[in-house]
Amino acid sequence: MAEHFTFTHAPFDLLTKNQQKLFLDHLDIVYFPEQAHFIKQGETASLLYIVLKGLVEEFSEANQSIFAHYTNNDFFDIRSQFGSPCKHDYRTIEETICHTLPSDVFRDLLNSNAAFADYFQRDLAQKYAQLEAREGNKNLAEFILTRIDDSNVQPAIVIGSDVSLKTATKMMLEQKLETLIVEQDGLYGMLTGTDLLRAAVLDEQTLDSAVAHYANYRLISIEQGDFLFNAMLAMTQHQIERVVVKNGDSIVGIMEMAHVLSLFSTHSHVIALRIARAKNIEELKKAAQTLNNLVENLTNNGIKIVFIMELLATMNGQIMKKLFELLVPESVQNQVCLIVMGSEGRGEQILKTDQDNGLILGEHLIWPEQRATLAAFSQHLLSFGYPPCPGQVMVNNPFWVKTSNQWHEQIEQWLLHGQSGDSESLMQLAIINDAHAVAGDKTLLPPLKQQIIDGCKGKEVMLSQFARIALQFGSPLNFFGHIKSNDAGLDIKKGGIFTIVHGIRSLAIEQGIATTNTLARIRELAKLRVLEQKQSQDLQETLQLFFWLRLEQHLTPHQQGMNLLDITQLTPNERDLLRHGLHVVKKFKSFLAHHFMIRDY
Amino acid sequence: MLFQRLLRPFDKMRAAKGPFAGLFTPCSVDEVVSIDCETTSLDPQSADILTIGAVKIRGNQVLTSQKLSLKIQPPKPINQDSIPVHHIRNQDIAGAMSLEQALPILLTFIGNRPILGYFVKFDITLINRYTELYYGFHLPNKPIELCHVYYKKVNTYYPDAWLDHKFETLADTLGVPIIGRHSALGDAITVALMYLQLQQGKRPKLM
Repeated sequence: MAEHFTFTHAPFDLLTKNQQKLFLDHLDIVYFPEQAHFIKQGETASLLYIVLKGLVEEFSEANQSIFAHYTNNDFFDIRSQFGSPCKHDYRTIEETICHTLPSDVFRDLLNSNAAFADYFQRDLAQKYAQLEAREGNKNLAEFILTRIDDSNVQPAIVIGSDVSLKTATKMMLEQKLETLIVEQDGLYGMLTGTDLLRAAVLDEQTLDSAVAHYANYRLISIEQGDFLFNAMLAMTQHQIERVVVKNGDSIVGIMEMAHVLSLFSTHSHVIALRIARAKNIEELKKAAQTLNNLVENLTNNGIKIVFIMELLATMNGQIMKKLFELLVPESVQNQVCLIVMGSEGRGEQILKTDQDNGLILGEHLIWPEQRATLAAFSQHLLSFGYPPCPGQVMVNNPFWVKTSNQWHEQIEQWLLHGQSGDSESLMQLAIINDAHAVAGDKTLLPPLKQQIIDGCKGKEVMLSQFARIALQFGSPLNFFGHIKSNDAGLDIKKGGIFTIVHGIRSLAIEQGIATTNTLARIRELAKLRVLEQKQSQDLQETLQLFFWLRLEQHLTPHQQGMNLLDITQLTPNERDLLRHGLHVVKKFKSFLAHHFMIRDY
Repeated sequence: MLFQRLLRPFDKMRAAKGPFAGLFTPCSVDEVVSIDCETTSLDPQSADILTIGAVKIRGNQVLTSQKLSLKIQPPKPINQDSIPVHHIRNQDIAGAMSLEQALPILLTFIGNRPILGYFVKFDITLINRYTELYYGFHLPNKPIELCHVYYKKVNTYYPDAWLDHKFETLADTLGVPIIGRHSALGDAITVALMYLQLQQGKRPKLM
């Protein structure tokens, strides 16, 4: 006979036949009309609700904020099943039919089924992993997440610096190696076949002269145990063909691009090469246009969002750098600094995002074609598929092109206005604080950032004004509010991403942290013990989750708004994660309010 | 119906000696029993009951934890034509209890509560046939016809509308999920949910 409850979805699929019977024997169904406020804050729960059909909202009547929505197959309120009073209120948005299970039966099931209990007791990070494991077959490209170990590293032969050219060549031939490691007074250098040719042919050295002079001592290295992906990234970033693999201080081997490439199935490096080799704007444009496909490929192959963002940040940076080099005369290049800001500056864009860029000019620069060149720069980026910045933070806007001194004055101004609570100025500071230099004379940027950090030091009132911006979107689901669920969407950017990013930015400025990436900032803050270890982990996971949800939303067709998340499109598992994530955001907000002493936000 | 109503004192008198005197007392609790039978045919005078599903409704709750789901072996094998409708094969009910055994369980479950059903007259007539046979009385419970409840609620606002009373249409209009269609218990639960929606929810939109 057909049962009236289906045990096919998580976590109820974990119950055994006998437990399913116990479950069914105690299961009731309850009906609520629209806007029924059926659980009140502070009540002791006696039932676990599982939504059969409808929509339920978790909110707080006391401070008018919304925490989560529950729809078909979702369940609540887990926290209050163990005797503690309900922390929030629950009401129906639509007419809702729920299954109800008495709390004591639920607790019995938890006690008798470890896997079932586990599901409810895991924290966010673990739950995320559990979800990923369930969707395991999507992770086709696991090899990219392979770690560097003995199996994929080529051995490094270390020779003394007094070995002759002839012996070195002989060793390479005999051992079929491309490179040798040369040790000179504790310093390691890399010697390649090309280096030997240069010594023998170009410099006409005798065959018994030492190799010491011809090795390259500026090595880029990567730790053993790191992801293969990072080795790849290091090579892409430095435009080199091989990296040294180290274990602590000792060299354990060499990793070559050709080798890594053979392990890779995606085209990321091919694109990087095309960018690097582009001789004109047309070629660069073609390379840039393939980027979105790459992201889609990587996502479909289940690559972690952090890696995608990192790769994309590198790629976008290189495209801009190349375009800059193609457009700007060489004599000017070394006197100006091209900076990217916003999500690009933080290395957090998931697709090609708005152009947020500016220019710092050297003091003694003479550049008559400045305006025309910069206008062309923005125009070309637009044709590459980077939409213009709605706030006009672009190099074709003279406001974002200033000499160092003008920038210093401008920042001074913003700091001054910021102290009197001008949120406009504070946002400008936030923008420039996230700047990242991509091309030209990169030393021009750090003094500006230092100025912001110095200017904010000890100015508690201003920092508090600054941090308040993160709290301005009152409730995480604000946008969604009382709108009917059918045409509703959740603004994940306002509701989650912005709060975390800006909150962390405020803390980073306060602590004088120079790095721009939010995840890196969170780690720094945890090191400084501003954030607790657990909190920092939760925040990192949550932010990644939000980015991932946003990316998925971007990649699926027919979506209406860029930042609107259609929660009915999510699987119960994903919604579950989202709910956890929004809770983390909520906790973080109260942490911020406490930390910066902000009242009545 | 009126005729039976007039005969009720005699029914009550006959039941007073038996274990079902309680059926004739006024309903004391705010509960309704939703009931559904799967039968061998659609003629209440000759059909045999195959399964009975029943569930209590209290307040805004459908008490599925106190459900009743009985399988009954009919006196003669199931007519082949009806099997595709109710999906109950002869082997499914082999060895099940007889109706004589099932009846006391059902009557105890229903008690003096009103009986709710979809075309409830069919189910009550069926049961009455057997109570008449075994105990000599008809069910005195107040019948609640889902279609009437629906009609009353909708007709005020759409007086001229032609109302489709098909089970699926009804559930769809009321926004109630259909639980196990054509299993007696599933239909009883679905009817109970539709009843709650009509009692407590907003008026369904027909257009």
